[in-house]
Amino acid sequence: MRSPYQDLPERAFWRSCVGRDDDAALAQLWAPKAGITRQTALMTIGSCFAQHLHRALVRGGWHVLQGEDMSAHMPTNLCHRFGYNLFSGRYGNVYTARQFRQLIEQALSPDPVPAPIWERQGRFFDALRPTVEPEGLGHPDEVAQSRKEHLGAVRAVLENTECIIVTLGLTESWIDTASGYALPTAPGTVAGDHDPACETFHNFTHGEVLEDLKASRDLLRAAGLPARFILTVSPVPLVATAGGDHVASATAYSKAVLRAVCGELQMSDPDFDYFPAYEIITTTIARGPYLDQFARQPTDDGVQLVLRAFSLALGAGDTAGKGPEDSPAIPPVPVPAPADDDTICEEILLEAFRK
Amino acid sequence: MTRVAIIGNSHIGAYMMAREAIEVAFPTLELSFFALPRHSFASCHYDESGVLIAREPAAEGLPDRIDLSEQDHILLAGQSFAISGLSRMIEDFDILGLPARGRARSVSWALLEEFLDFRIERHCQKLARFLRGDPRCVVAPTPFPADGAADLPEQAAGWLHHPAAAALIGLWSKTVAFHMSGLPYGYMPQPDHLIESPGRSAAAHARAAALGPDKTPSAPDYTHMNSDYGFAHFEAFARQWLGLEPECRTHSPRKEYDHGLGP
Repeated sequence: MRSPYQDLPERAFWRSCVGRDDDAALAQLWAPKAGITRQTALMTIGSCFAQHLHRALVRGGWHVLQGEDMSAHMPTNLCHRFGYNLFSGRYGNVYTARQFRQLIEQALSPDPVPAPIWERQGRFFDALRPTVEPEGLGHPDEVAQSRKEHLGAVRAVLENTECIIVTLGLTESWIDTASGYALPTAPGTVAGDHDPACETFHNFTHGEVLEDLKASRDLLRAAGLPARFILTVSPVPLVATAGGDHVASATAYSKAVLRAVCGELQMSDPDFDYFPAYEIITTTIARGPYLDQFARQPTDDGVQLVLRAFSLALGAGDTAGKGPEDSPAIPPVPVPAPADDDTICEEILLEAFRK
Repeated sequence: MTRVAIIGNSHIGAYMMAREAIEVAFPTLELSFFALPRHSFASCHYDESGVLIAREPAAEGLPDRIDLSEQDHILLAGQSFAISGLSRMIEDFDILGLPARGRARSVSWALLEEFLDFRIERHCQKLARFLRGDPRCVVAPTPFPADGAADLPEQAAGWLHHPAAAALIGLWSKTVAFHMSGLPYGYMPQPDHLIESPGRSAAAHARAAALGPDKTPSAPDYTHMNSDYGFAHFEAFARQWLGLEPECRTHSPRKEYDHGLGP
């Protein structure tokens, strides 16, 4: 009698894999579709968890592109306070697939639709990355100038990257009615005021997320850019939901949709792969979960384990946390700076508005 | 006699060149000088008895130690207060809100404020550790470069040709004054009458102005001042911090003494 399971590898069986964090087990967590070496130019983008990945990859000695690099000028904590060197560009947290798609559209467009600008006490903020200037700027023209330079830098990163590591965080979003842009946070949290006539709440569906990711790829290809994608799902739950459900249910919906889209793309599209950081952090598969006392932020141990699994699966050994601490720029600027372990997440600001 | 030590880096040369004139104008003062090798606090050992000793051989003709315990007042001259950081930011970036100069990248004024705050605070912390909270100390910043420094590298004084030099130097000066106000030392910014324009000293005060006709001035001859400046700055120091008026001044100290202590 033959079973379709009888010749499957160890990694196919829960009992033989669960609860192990040894190298052999970690190496089996991911079977990369395509090789990545330490010379492969990587771009990081996404939600809060992408900051952890960016930092861990840089420390691990991977070739993470760094647009808008400021490490040669300022200490790491000041860089981070102004949104520099958190990801491969100064785009702030990109929570949704729609934000990712629209950023690529803007970066590749010669004349992108202007981003909305928020105001707070006479200071002005880029609504698509409102935290990169914590005190805002003095005039809307300064916001526009800063954004123009930012998009040029993003384009340069896109042109140089071979693989984009996208960490999907949310499905819930606020859409600016006038521009159609998905916003990273609701108006009235960092700056601006919420006006139901100007912004609408939207919870993206599986189909929409799938379409946004495919469209992102298509935009790159249309521009002759060859980057492929590694998708991850942020293990960080929603800090708040505007959808009406309990925040736990809303989180489950978001993560399920995002995870399902990743799985579908991984199975069906050669340009997309999925790396199971979400599973490593939130489940028992690698002796986890690795979440802090509030069951929200991943622990340092968990993040290091994620990078170990990444490195081992790629045959690059276990180098988590052993490399330089700041990214090479374009061109590389080899000026290391001390690490800062705070992860910046404007989503957390929502808590300040909790009644 | 009141004993005054003038310590610091190559900028103490201006006072050394004016020494004779100073001692004539202030006959109750006895001056001592000490230059930190490589301009670095780390190059010296400040022992428990108050003797500051160079860890490495001093330049020829310069003392390798000074007993600060014997001094009534200490003028620490030529402190940069991270002004090179301001220069570098201006060199590499446009500042949003100020006239653009064609740089590829811009940074915000708020970032520049926080950057200078960080750098200057760190400099002041080093000062605090080095001087051990000694209230005899008065700290003076490096004099601004002088007019005419055509070949001065942009990175050395990027504000000189910036249309918003006044705002940039104003921010730097305000930040230095703020952080120095938290230390137990006196702080003596460059006196107004020794400033030609924001961030710029008068050409007549540069070493370049005192060079003989057979010498071609180089960039350091515009960033270092001559004995006229040394005398004028010390005179301001004596008025403000020692309560002394000059008794006389016979002629230009520049003609009196050229020690040749350059950068």
